[in-house]
Amino acid sequence: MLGLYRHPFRAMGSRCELRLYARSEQEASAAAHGAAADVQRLEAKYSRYRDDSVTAAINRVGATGGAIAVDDETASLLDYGATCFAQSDGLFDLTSGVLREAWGAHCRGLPGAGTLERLLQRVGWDKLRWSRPCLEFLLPGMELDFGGVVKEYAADRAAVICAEAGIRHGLVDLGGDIRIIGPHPDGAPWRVGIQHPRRPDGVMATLDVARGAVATSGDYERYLAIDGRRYCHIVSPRTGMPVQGLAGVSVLAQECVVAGSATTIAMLMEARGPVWLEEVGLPHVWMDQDERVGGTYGAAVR
Amino acid sequence: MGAISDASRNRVSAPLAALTAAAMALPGVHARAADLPGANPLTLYGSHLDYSESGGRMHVRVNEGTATVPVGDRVLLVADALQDLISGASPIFNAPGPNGQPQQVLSGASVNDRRNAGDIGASLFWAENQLTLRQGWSHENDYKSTWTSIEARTFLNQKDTTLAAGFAFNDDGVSTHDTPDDFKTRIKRDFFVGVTQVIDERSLIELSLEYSHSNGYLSDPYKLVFVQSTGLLPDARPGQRRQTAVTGKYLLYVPQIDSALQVIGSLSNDNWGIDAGALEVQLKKELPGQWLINGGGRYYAQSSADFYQPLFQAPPADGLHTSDYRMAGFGSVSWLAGVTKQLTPNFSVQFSAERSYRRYALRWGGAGFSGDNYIWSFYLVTLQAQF
Amino acid sequence: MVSTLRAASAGLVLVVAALAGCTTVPPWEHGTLAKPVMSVDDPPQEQQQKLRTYGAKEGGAAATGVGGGGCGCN
Repeated sequence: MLGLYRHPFRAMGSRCELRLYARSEQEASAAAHGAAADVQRLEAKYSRYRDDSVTAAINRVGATGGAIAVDDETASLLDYGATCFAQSDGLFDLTSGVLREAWGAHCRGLPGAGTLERLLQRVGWDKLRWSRPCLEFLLPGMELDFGGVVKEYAADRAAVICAEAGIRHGLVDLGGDIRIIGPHPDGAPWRVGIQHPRRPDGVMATLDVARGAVATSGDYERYLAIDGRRYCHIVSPRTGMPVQGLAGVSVLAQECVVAGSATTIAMLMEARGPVWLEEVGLPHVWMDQDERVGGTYGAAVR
Repeated sequence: MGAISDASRNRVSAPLAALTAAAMALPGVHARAADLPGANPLTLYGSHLDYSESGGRMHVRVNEGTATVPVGDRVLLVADALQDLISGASPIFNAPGPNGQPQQVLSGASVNDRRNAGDIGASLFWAENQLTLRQGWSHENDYKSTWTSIEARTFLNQKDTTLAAGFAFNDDGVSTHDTPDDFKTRIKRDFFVGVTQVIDERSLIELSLEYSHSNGYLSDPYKLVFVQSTGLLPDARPGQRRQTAVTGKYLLYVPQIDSALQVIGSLSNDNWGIDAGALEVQLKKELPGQWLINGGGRYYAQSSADFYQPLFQAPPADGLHTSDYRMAGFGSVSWLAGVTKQLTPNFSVQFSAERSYRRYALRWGGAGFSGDNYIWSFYLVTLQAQF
Repeated sequence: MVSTLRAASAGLVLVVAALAGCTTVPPWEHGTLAKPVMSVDDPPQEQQQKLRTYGAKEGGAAATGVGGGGCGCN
């Protein structure tokens, strides 16, 4: 007799939830704790705020320039980051984290051009040498930020951990990055409502997903409003400025990491986002600054 | 429901292929194939079939139970047992009536037979492959059988394509009620190959080719033929039979009626002169409350065997003769329907029925007569429980 | 008989080759294909009973199927 068990928790700065169909509370709990523990492991391992994280160790070397050998998991994430860099014409860049200094929460106005130029000199995947397992920074003052990959990666791993614990039906939701474990027991897909980028109570689209993953990016998640203009948290490594293109985009893929990087790259492509998404061929829904909706998944519901 | 545009159905783009390949290299992002037996719990099936024919002919009741249980992640064991209870009359031969037309003569006494059968098997799963071995036995007073089969399957294209091939070997012994220990041997070898292919997000097709080769005593010891010049002779069929059949199954989901359309067509021929074809069309629909209904019709037609005649004037030179109504030219139309209800996520029940009208007039060709016409029907109740 | 078999298997090979051109359906679009009504096989015992009935009452080969063997049904 399968029951639906919900396991909410906080991680990666977001509200997360595991929804699992299981035969008992114990079975659901065991799977949920294993999955949540892995999410928390990854949060700690790649945290920008912890001195003992792998990110901190890498960035200590990045600050002075130099080389560091990384573990297998980090190496695979760097390989993934390298692939995203290549597939996005250099827009998806794990080294763009330093730009946070200009756009962080403490900032009170638009950063000056000089500030941005100075920071941009320390940004660029091509300014490091990555040859597994060795990462070498060719300049001092560089930083890596895994934030664009780790949450989606954690969602994929969490779903697999649940599946290997015997869960056949359920989903993992890490702050809107979703990986399906399996459809409802009767085969019905999960209905995923994507938030409307401008109306907090509205829906941009409703997606029926039985398998795979859905990730969403938008300019409404974290942003600064300066002089009435919205500056979102996704910053272009070319200009140093927050991107201005789509208001929101959701992509469906087999893996959450792929869905997530596709949404991030689509946002980074700004006006070219919809065209790039068509080329990639994954089902997607986007909304632009005029609240127009498009994409190859036609179930947009207002 | 969203419409999927043509763009998303194209071949995987280069960027997507690159991202997916890099994603696959990330540890723990993919689970093993979901069809592994560890995913299925112990499952029990039980069924009761009630089959009957018009005109006081055969009545068969079958009770069957099957259990499947996974062992670890890579093996699925299956065991099956059934019992048939057979009663009623059956045709023995045709005799000329007052105007010379053939008339069926049924066995006078009611036959009461019991058949016990069982089989065991194991399926092994590894990577995208599956291998199944089965061994079965069947026993009645006048018929015993052992059979062995092997079937291999492999999944390609992210499970959009399935290739299957199999071989079965049947070793049977046929005797009669009067001489129950005098068994005559009959051997049959069966081969099949098949492919199942997903066409798009709402349709798929399955094609299979089957070939079988039988030899030994292939006649029916309870049947006779009426020969004008000499009287009754035993049923005498060739000692060898080769049959080939090709079957296609097509499934299409029709969103306008929220139903699946299923079409099954098959053609067969053999070296006894029997050509046959069948076409079945069904609609299947889910209803709220975990109900599923299906219904449709089937048309079947065959030509008669070369050595079949309702009545013989003289014994054929090659010594082959049968008047068995199943070797005649005939066709049939049937309707079939079923209802399935998922009572709980672990327990479901199904009821299905079919009624078939066998008609000489619908034959593919060859000899026969309408006196052989009859109606058969069955209903089947199946329970399925998972633990 | 052999020529029929050859023709039929040649046909099957051609069809398989043609099917290789079919699109690959990504897993997230398998929602419709995963519906119970789209299942290719009948439930196990039902499939067997149907085939046994057709095999016992018809002369055509399509009914027999692999691995079902062994009944002297008249």
